[in-house]
Amino acid sequence: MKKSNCLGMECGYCRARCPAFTAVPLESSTARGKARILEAYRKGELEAGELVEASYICARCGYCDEICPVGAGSSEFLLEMRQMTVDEGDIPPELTGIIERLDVTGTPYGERDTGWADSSASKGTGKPRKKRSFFSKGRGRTAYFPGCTVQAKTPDIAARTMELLHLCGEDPVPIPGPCCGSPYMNAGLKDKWETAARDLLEFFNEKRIGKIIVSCPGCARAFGEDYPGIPGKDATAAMPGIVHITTFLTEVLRKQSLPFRKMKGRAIYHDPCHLGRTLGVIEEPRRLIRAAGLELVEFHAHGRESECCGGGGVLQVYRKEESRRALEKRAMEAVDRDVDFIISACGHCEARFRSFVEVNPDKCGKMEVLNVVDLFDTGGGDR
Amino acid sequence: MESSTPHISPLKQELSRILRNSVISDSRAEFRAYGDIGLPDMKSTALAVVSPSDYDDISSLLDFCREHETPLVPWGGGTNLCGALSPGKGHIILDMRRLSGILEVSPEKGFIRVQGGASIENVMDAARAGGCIFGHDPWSKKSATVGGSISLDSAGNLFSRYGSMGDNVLSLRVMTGTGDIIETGRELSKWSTAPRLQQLFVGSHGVFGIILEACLRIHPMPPVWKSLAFGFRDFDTFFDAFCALRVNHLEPDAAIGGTLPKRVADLLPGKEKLLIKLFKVPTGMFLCYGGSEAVTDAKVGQAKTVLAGFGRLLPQEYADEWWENRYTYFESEPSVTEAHLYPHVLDMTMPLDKVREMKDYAGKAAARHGLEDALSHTLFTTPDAYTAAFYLKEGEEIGDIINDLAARVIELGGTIARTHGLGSIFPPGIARAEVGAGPLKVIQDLKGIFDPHNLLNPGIFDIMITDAKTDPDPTDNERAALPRISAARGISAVTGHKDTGCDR
Repeated sequence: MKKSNCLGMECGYCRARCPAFTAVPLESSTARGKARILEAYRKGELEAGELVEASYICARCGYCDEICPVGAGSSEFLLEMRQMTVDEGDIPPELTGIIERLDVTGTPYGERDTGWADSSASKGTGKPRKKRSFFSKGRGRTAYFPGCTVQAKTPDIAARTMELLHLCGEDPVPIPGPCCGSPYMNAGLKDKWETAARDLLEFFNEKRIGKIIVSCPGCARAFGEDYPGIPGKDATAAMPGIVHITTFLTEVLRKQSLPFRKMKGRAIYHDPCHLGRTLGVIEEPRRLIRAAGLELVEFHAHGRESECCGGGGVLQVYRKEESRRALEKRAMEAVDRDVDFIISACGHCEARFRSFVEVNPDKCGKMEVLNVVDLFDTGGGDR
Repeated sequence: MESSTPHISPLKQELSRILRNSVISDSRAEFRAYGDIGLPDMKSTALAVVSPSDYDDISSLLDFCREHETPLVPWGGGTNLCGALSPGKGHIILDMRRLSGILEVSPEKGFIRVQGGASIENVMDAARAGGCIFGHDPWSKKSATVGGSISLDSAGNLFSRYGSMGDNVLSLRVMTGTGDIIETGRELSKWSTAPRLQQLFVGSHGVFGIILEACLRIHPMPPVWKSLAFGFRDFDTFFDAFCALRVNHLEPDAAIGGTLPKRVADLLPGKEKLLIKLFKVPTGMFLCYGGSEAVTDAKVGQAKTVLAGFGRLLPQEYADEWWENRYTYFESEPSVTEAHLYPHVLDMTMPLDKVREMKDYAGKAAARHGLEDALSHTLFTTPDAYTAAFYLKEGEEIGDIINDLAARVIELGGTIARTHGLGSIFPPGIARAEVGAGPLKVIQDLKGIFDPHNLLNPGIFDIMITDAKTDPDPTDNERAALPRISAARGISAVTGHKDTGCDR
C-alpha cells in the first residue's frame, strides 16, 4: 500500500462533511485519521487487526475525495484496507448477515424477486409506443435495472418507473433479481465481488443488453466506474451503456412533454453521493423538480459537496445506530428549511429518509419523502 | 471468522460508566489518528479519546481526571503546525468537535454566538447567511475550531483588516480546570467597567480552561473585493513595496507574497498552467481590498501607483486565481503532493527594521544545513509578519534550524510563534525569553487559580514556563540554542528594561 498523499498536508478538510465522523465522532472516522493509521501500520507500529474499525467506519460517500486539496481521500486506500482485514480473517461479525444473504439469494435483502416486474404497471398501459426509442442508435436491447434496494424497499417505484419508460416510448427489458455486487466490494470481499460482477455481465451479454437504465446511483456507479476494472477482457468489452433514470427523463423532456403530477409546495433535493459527486448528475433531477412546478430550495451542502445520509459503504450495517446520526443531521436540515417534500433519486437514501420520518413524526411535521418518480403521473396510481 | 469479544480496558469501562453522552475510544489506532501535522514520528501518549456531546460530560471527565491525576488535552481541528497537541505524557484527548452548534446570529448587533467545537467555516457560513463577514479567514477554515483558534490567537488572510481571532472575541463561556463555568465579556464592541477577562483565554493554549462557547464579532459584508498581483525582482524589493503601502495608508485587507522553495518550484510541471506561471515570478505579491466599489477602486488604483515604483503589475487573472484559491496553493499540484514534502512553518512577527535581517539569517542557516532549496520566505498580511517555511523530505531533520532561528528571532526582538503557538517543535525557554519572567510568574499564578491541579494541557504549560537555563533534559540541538535564548532574557520583551530575573 502506498503512502497516502494526505501525509504532510493533513489539513483535515475531509472532516467538514464526513458522515462517518457525524456517526462516530472520532478522528479515525476521517480520511486524515485513516491515512495516519495506515501509515502507522505500514511502519509496523500497528497490526492489521487494529485497522478494522477505521476500515469499516466509512460511508464511501466520496466527500473526502472531492474536497481534498492534495488528491487524497479515503478512496485512495479504503477498499484495500477492508480487503486486508478480510484477508487477515477480521471481517466484522456485523456484516455476516448481509454477506450470507448475498451468498444465498444474490441480494443483500434476502429476496431476489419481489414481483415488481410482473405488475401490470411494469407490463405497460396499453398505449401505443413510439417507434423510435431514445436509444435507437447503437446495438443491443435496452434494459431497466432498479437495483436490489429499490426492488426490496420500494418495488412500486420499480413498477412505476417501467410504466414511465413505456410512456416515454421505451420498451425495456425488466431485470429483477440480482445485486450489482457492490456490497461485496464494500465489505472487502474482492473475489466474491468480481465473481458477482462477471456473472451479471454475462447475464447482460446473454440477453444482448446494450443499454441499461438504472434507478440506483450505487448500481450506476458500480456499472460505470467499478465494473470496467474487473479483470478479464470479456468483462470489460461487454460493458453496456448506463444511464440513470433522471438523466433519461431530462433528455426526454428536452424533446417532448412528460406526465408530471400537478404539485405545489417547497421541495428540497438530496443529491445522492454516487449520483451527484461520482457521476456528475446534478442538474438533471433539479430540472425535473422545477418542471413539476415545485419551488426548489437547496441544502447548505449540495451538488458535488452534498452531505451523505450515512447509508453507504456498509456503514449502516456495521454501525446501524450511529449511522442514524448522519441521517438525522441531513433530515433535520430539511425540516428546518420548512419544506413540504424531501426528494431523492436514490432508493437507498429515500428509504432512510422515509424511516426517519416514520419514526420521528413530531420532528418532521408536514415533510414528505419522495422519489423523483413520484413527480410523475404514471396512471398506475400514486403512492 | 467470528471476532473474539473485544477487550475493554478498565479505563474505558470507567469512562463509559461516568460519561452518559460521549463516544470513547482507547485503541492504539485511534491515538495514531490524533496526530500532529508534519510530525509523523511523534509517538502518542494518549490513554483514551473522549468525544462528548454535552457540558455535563466534560465536567464529569474533569472530575475523573482530577481524581486520577490524569491530564486532559482539548482537541479542535488539529492544525496548529508546531506540535502543540503532543504533551509527552499519558493524557486523555477531549475531542470538542461534536459541540459545534451555531447558537445565535445577530447581524444587527454584530455578533455570532457559537460552541467551541464549531469550525471556522461554520461560523463564516452562518455570518454570510446574515449578510455579514466573520473576520478570521484561515486556510484551515474547514477543520480549525473556534476554541482552538482562540486558544492560539490565530490570524488569517484578513488579519490586517479584522484582526486576529482573539481580536474578534466579545465574550466566552469557559469551563476551567476546577470544573467551574465562567462567563466573561459582553456582546458590546467596547466597554471598560472592568478588566476583560476573556482576553486571558486568548492565546492561552487551553491551559486555563476549555472554551465551551464564544461570542464573536461579525461585520457587514463588503460589497466588493478586488485583488491585484505584482511581481518584484527579489524579496527585499517586495518588502520595501509592502512597507510603502503602509506608509501611504494603503494597507491591504489581505496580502501575501514571497518566494517559492526551489525544490517545490522544480516540481511544478510547466509554464502553461496559470497557477504555475504565477509562482515562476521571482517574488510575487497578491493583495486584496474590500469595501464599497468607489472606495475599493480608489485604493486599488493608488496601490497600483505605489507598487509600480517597485515592480510590475501582473495579469488580473493571476490575482483572481490567488484570491479564489487563497486557502491552498501549490499543495494541490499532484507533483508536489506525491513528493510528500513535510512543511515546517515558522511564522514570526519581527520588528519592522529587522525583517530583512531575519530573512537573510534564515537563508544562511538553511544553507549551513543544506536546506537552502527547501526554504520559502513569505510575508503574510503585514510586512512584519515574516514566515520561514521548510519543505522537508522524509528523513530530513529540522531540529537544528528551528533552535537556531528561534534564538535569532528572540535576539532581534521578535516572536517565533506569531499564530501557531508553542509546541514540542521548539526548544525550551521560548516563552520566558520572549515574554519575560515577571509575566510568566503571573501566568503561573493564574494557572493556580483556574487549574490548580494542572490538568489542562500540562505539557504545553510546561513548555510555556520552562526556563531554558533550568530545563533538566535538553537535547543536543536545544542545548546549542539555550545560551542564546537564555541571554536574550537580558532584555525584557515587555518592558524593554533589564529583566529582574524574578523566577518562580
